[in-house]
Amino acid sequence: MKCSEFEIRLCEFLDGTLEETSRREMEQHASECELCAALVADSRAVQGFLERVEPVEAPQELVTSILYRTRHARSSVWPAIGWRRWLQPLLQPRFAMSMAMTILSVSMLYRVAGVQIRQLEAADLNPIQIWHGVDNSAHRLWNRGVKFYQNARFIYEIVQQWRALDSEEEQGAEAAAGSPPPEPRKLEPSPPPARKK
Amino acid sequence: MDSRPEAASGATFAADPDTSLVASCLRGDETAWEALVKLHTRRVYSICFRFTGRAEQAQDLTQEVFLRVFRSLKSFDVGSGCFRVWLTSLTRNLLIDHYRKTRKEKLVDSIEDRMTELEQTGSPGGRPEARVAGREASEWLQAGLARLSPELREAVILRDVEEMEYREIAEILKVPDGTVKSRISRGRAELARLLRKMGVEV
Ligand SMILES: [Zn+2]
Repeated sequence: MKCSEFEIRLCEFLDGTLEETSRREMEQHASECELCAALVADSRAVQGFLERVEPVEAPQELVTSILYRTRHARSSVWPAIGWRRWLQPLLQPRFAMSMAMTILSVSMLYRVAGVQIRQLEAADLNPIQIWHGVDNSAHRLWNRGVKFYQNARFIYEIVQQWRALDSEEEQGAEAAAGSPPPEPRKLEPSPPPARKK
Repeated sequence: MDSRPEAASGATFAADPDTSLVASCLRGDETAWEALVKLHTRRVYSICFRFTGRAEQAQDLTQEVFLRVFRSLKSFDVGSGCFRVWLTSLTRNLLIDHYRKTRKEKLVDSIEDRMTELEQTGSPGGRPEARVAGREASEWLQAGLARLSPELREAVILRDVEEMEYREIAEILKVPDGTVKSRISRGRAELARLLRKMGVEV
């Protein structure tokens, strides 16, 4: 038997899982080879030493911090869904209508601030767009709103409100005699975008 | 897919409780993930600690292992693989990466410094008693392992500390059974020599 083979078989020799013939061959080699005899002695010694070693215990807080970190990793495992998908249920006709009305109200408030709104598109439902995409074409929005919305009374109320706001604005403008209209209620910290034609 | 996947996988689940936990995790069951983490944290930490010899590093690495497990759990084949072996493979690969990176940062030097310190002053209680045990033996083992080549170190840790099967270790290290056994034997002999050199009776 070669020493390299002895080295390999030594594991099972020490485990006691070698069959009789192999075991005898091993013992035979160890009795003739000093190096391999030392290998047996050293391996047995280390196994005895390892039995006296206290097992490693993980710090108690480790499980907690692993669970904490994996909970946070969840967002990267499930990639962030875009605002469009997030809003998908809201784009269903029923919700879209109330959403449109909300935007309509918002646009009216913008009108008070001297800004008009452009045609309503899905992109307008992006909260960021709601605040930044304000433009002209308020009338087209209005028509769409009427088409969608069946509650005529509510529309009527809004029209009344709008008209009231319009006349207020005109009066205000007249009173100011050419100077900019009075500062409206602060609705949004960022300045309204420049008007486009 | 089988028309009766539950019945087919039932037998596998009975053989390895980890497998059913993994399956539950993949269905999004958070308590199963928690159970899986609790079951294996000690083992992963123990391997990391024995390999690096540093508690803080072992903690960071253990967290990293579980983050990777979390992200790649889908790639674990519930049908054929043993989760424990898969997890240990992942741990081992991370440790080897870490070893290669930190070797450049001269971490080995700091281990060497600590070793010299241990050799000169002994463990906190001076030269080791003739026959150390418990925590003290654990510290000397750590000092010995740090001086073993990573190849022999990982073989000894997986067999003698974690008590894994030879074929499992072969799978983890991606070497033949014979190579695993030969490394274990040489690692043990080398460790015995190192411990004696430090004055520890083995
Ligand atoms: Zn020999």
